[in-house]
Amino acid sequence: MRRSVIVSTLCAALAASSAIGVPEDDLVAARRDALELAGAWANDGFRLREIYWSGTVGNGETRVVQVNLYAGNQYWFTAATRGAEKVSVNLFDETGTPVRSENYQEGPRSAAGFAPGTSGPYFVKVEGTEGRPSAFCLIYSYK
Amino acid sequence: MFRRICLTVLAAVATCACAQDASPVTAALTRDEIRGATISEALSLPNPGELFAAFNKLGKPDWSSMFRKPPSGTYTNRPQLALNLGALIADGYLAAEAQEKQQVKNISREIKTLAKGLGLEQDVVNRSNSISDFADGRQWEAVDQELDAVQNELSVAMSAHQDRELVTLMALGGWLRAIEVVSGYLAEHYTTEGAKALRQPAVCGYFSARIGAMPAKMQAAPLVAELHRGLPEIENLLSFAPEHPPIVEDVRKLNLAANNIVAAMAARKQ
Repeated sequence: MRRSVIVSTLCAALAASSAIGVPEDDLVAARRDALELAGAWANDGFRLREIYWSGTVGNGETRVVQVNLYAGNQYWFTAATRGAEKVSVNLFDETGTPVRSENYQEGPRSAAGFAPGTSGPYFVKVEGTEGRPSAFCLIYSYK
Repeated sequence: MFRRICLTVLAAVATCACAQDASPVTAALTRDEIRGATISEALSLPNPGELFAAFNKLGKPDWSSMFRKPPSGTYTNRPQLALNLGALIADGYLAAEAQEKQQVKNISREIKTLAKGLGLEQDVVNRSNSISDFADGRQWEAVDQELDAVQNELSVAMSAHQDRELVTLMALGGWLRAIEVVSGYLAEHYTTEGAKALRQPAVCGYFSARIGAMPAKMQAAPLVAELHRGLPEIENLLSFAPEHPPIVEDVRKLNLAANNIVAAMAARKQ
């Protein structure tokens, strides 16, 4: 019940602040799909951040966002798209070197989890690998 | 028949391997990708709960020893209200980590009072009640999530009122209070691992840049100007190489710097 209230509230907030040129419905749906997948990590004690990052990504296109993480914690970054058939999430350290992560891929939903050994900046890359340009939403959880 | 079963098993194994694998082969980011990376105020900034969670792995800190008297709800200056709202939310995370029910409930009430000063009481009233309910139920992870939700909803409301600067200041207030708490604890219970965990070279720089981009009138406000002047020292102390964590004297300096700013935020009448 509580989770569905959170999802509805966030979807409302997302609808109010959608990316320019992207159908709001697609963003809301991508957010919902990402939250659904992230629910699996929540069952394992991960705390879901309420914030999100969204935009559009096409086939072969990438979007990169910087995050600032703490050594000692574990993180899951979860993305979903609406329209694209496949999306991937990959993690990099502050020099741009890929970090060893656990990856989950299920068509338009993807996630990468890892435990940083060093506190500091990291990069999350969302890549559209199949399908038409479409809305994506990235969220993260930690424990 | 046997061949068919083997093929089915192999297909199933292959499907599992596609669905979840460790560390795929991925090319490094290019310089352009690093330079062009988005810094999102929402996603790029860790919340105070993440810092406290990291320190919980290093032992069981006595978080209740880091409580403070909540800031007054009588401010009229909007930047000051936003800064203290952020700091109060950090206090909420602290109280949840300490598992102190009454402290969580008190802070939840104070958050509502400060939000009222910004005309945003209605935006937090439901969350504030939920925080109290979860504290009564000793559901500390749910308290954390509600605090994150409070900050998110306040940010949405501030943005809707064209108050983007207040969103930044609220995040900064929370960040500074969390640094003050953790550095204060570490100064008294120093460990190299704890000192290493403090490292965050990009966050202060981000806040400095955001304040530098604020309207001149906002930058000239005495409290904002004082913050802007104080951030480089904190940035410097948090920007160490991973293999060279700060020594205890540096952690004390960090604590003093954060403490001075948080005290100015809480005390100054503008």
